[in-house]
Amino acid sequence: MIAENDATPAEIADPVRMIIDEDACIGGGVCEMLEEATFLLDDDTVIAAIVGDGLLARERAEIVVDRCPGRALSFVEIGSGLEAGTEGRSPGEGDED
Amino acid sequence: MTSTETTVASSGSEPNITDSSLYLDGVPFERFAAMRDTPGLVWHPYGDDGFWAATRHEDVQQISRDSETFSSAIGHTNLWDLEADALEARRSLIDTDAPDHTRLRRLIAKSFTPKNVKRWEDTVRAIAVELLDDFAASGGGDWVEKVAAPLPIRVILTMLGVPVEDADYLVELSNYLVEGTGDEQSIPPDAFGNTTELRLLPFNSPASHALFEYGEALAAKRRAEPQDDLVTMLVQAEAEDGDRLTGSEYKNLFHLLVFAGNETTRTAISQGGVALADNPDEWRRIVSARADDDEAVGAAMIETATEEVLRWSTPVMHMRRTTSVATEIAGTQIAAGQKVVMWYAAANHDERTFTDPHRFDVGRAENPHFAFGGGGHHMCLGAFLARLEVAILLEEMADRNLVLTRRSEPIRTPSNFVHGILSVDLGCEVSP
Ligand code: HEM
Ligand code: SF4
Repeated sequence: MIAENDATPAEIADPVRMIIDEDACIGGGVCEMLEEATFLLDDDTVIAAIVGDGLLARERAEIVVDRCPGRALSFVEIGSGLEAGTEGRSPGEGDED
Repeated sequence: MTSTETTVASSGSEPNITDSSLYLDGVPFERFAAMRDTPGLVWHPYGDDGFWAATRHEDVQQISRDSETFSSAIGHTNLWDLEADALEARRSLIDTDAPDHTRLRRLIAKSFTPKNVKRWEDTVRAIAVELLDDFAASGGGDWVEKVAAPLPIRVILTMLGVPVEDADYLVELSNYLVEGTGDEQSIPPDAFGNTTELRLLPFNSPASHALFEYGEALAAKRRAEPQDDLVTMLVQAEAEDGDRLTGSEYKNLFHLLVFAGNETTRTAISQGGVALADNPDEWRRIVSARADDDEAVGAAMIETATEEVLRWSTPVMHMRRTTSVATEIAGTQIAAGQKVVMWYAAANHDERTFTDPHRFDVGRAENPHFAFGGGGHHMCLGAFLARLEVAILLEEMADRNLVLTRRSEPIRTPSNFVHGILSVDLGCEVSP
């Protein structure tokens, strides 16, 4: 099955936090194919979901955002609060690209 | 507004890229190159009006990814317009915008994810092996009839749950549909017992009526006796909640899957076979990579060769959008309600994006081709299935050491839409 994304920000170079726009997702699973530790296509809803903390290296985040046919993926910067583990689950405003 | 699907000659001396007969001699690459070098989008007369032609990779990508501005639901996604009632009767996934599109697409998306498509690998391989062995045993023949056509239709029919005995009939129907994208139909309007006005049928073809009937009969069977197949999945989606998949949505979706899953992949394999016969050095690269002790070398080569076959063949040469609001692309002002046509056949040879675009290079490293569209909501649903079919065919050909040779000129499909080959005689030898 899908591995948990257990990498911490310290292990990922230049990490960003992925966000899914569930209304836009068309369920093709490209994200899951590219980054299977971060995305999982829900079998029932056929909508992608984030596994674990949703962190990806910026470079890889840009690729998966670019390839997502639903234009449903974006990422936000992780604030300094995150490293201290204080950021809540809601990721804030979406990065438009 | 006109409901005929014939094209008119453009004024001026340039070749008219919508003239279907032009494609009997191949894609008008020179004309496309000139259009790419023209600043902005190029206005092309068509019928009583015209469309904006996008030919550069960058512009096609921008249009393709902005489905709010560039609608698939207004008018039609083919060049010609449809009257409102015809559009409603014929509307399938491909002619919808969000949120209808999202809802329809999610109903079938799961079966076509990269992960789920892999489950069909053994099925695809078994069919490919059977066809290739027959083709090699007879020393070659019509590559389209013997390999390129049967492989994809058998695969999609297996997935849908259609019995093998009916494959030939559905191939025949599909052939008639392609004619609907050209200027003339070879079958009368009442063929297959059709009584529906042609303009209400996909591709204006009576064969669509036959395909609808077939799909409905199969749906009835699966409702009575569910199986583990796509048609069962679709009818159950319909049954659970009345307004999830209507009868019209079902039959148009069935039609789309049979047509889109078939004609296009056939074209990729037809054109791919000719390209391999014409470029023996490229074929040898594939064979020797597959023979490498390091399996990764062969796998990487199959991947790049598959993408190159797709770029080279560009089975769907264009798709159309219609602007929902006034906008601008490449400095060209486009009014609301205008047609914009993305010419994938031109974008896939854009020298700004591809190194040496007119070379068939099976090891091409950077290959962001638009065979499956330019990205965005309508990106081909079957992209991973089509890739699997092409890749497995290449693997099995390489492992059998088959060499294709050209014994005739291809007879091309007279269509400005599908880059098809009707037949081509290829020799097939097992190289020592
Ligand atoms: C080499 C083979 C194929 C090529 C070149 C191809 C090409 C395309 C293209 C260019 C589009 C985009 C349409 C648009 O943007 O308006 C598309 C959409 C589509 N394709 Fe394919 N296709 C291929 C194989 C398949 C297969 C095997 C299936 C099987 C199910 C399939 C099903 C579809 C469907 C259902 C759509 C509509 C998707 C939507 O509107 O959301 N295609 N295809
Ligand atoms: S790639 Fe995009 S559209 Fe496809 S499943 Fe992932 S989020 Fe959804």
